[in-house]
Amino acid sequence: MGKSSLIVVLGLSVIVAFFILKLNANSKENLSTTVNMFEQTQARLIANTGVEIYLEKLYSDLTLINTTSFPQNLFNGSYIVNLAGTLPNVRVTSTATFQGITHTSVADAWLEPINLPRLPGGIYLNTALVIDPKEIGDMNVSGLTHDPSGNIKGDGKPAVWAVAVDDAVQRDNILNGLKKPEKLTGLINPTTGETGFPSVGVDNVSDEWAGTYQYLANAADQTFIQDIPNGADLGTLTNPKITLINAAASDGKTIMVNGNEGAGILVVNGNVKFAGNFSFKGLILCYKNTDITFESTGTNEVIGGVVVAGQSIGFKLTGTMNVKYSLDVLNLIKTNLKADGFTILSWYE
Amino acid sequence: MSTFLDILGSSFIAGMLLLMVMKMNLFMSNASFESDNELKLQQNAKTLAEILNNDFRKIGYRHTGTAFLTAEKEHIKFVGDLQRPGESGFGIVDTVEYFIRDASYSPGTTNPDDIIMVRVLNETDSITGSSLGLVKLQFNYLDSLSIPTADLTKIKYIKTEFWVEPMEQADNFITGHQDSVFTYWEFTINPRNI
Repeated sequence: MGKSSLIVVLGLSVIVAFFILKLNANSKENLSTTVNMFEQTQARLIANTGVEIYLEKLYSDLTLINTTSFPQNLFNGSYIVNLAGTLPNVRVTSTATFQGITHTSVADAWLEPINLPRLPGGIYLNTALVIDPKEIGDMNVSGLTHDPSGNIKGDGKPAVWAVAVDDAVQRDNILNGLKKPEKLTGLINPTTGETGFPSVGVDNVSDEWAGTYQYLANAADQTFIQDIPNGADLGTLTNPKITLINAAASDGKTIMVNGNEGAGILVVNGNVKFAGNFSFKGLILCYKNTDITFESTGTNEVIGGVVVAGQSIGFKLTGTMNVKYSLDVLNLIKTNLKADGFTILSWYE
Repeated sequence: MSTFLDILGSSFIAGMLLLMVMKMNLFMSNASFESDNELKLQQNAKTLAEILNNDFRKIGYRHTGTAFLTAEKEHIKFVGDLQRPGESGFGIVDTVEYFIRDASYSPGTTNPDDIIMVRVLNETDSITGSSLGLVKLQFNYLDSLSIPTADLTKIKYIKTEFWVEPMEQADNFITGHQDSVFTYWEFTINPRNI
């Protein structure tokens, strides 16, 4: 009787054990199915992230073209990126591995050149808020064509407005408040091309510029949120830079630029003070809420142009401020700036 | 007398044991069947999701213009190169179409509700396979603001929902008739090339 009971109990135990093992195996397989889906997704995300990271790296260092990265660790997986092609075109192949699952993403991208819309004046006021006419009148603004050294080319034609605005109300506001009209020279008759003073005209290209401000700010080669010391590299005509001076993000909400020179595109946001003679070749773009102060008693000079595109913009001068329109400089900037960034043409994932 | 009582008692106990074994056997068979069914259910759902996921991410790849040819609730047709650079067929933009067939196209299963998802590649190569327990499939098309749209040029996201049941239904001892568990899968894809 005892042996029989033992046989029955052991037999049942074996059957139950097999049954539990089978259920357990199914449960494990169920989990494995779910985990596998997660692993595939994770591998894809790592590969895609690799593409994004290496496009940024390539943008910063164009010599990375036609190279393959070392394995990079990310999210507990790894990826390898190959950058192939002839700039401005590049094909980025990112192969990621996560928990034994491999995924390859391929993106074709194009290094998009800087696209600067037409500048209709030495200073273009593309803002809803009319600037104090006195601030404009304190500057020497020339819409005549200048060479990169700041000399008038020939008779200065074809010229643009010294100050171009978006509508007649802004124009009249400036003209009525001008103390020294002769300081604003440039185009006075767009039909004949005649030049003279005061050169303030309406030429609304706000739509062309509208999408450009934030784009340029985002594409900045360097960003300053603290005072800029003398000798800081703000670019040259052969190697221009997009510089974002974001005073609004600084601790004191004001940035001091100490006696500098530079070339490229200067994107200004917030209160910026230029101390010492400042010379810049290219485009100064004032956007958002900007207050620019030139504190030096010497001569400050911008060869190229100024675009005012904020909600609240002001200029304060202690010394002399010369703005000289130069298409040559703007073209050089466009040619020599490396690019706005990569534009994705197609993406395989 | 006592011997007779012993035989009677032991027979009763043996009968009880036998009944218990038979009941346990029945329970185990049923539980095992349900467990297998659920595993297949999950694997089938994953397979369907993988197929759609793989194709939908390539919508518009190496194609300029509107990538969608048809965007309906149970029918989608689009163009895109399914092969990646270096693979055979790369450079040729494919046309891919998905639609469903009703339950009459899946007579081989005991589930009366399962339907067939048909994938047609380049108008000719039609893969109809088994139903994989699919009982309902629907697509929703969203614009860049995630608002449903019927405008083919504005579609930026495809929200896919499908319901899968086991291909073989199991007896439900509580309700007394055959029914199924089901799984619901939803995913929204933003093809990068549209």
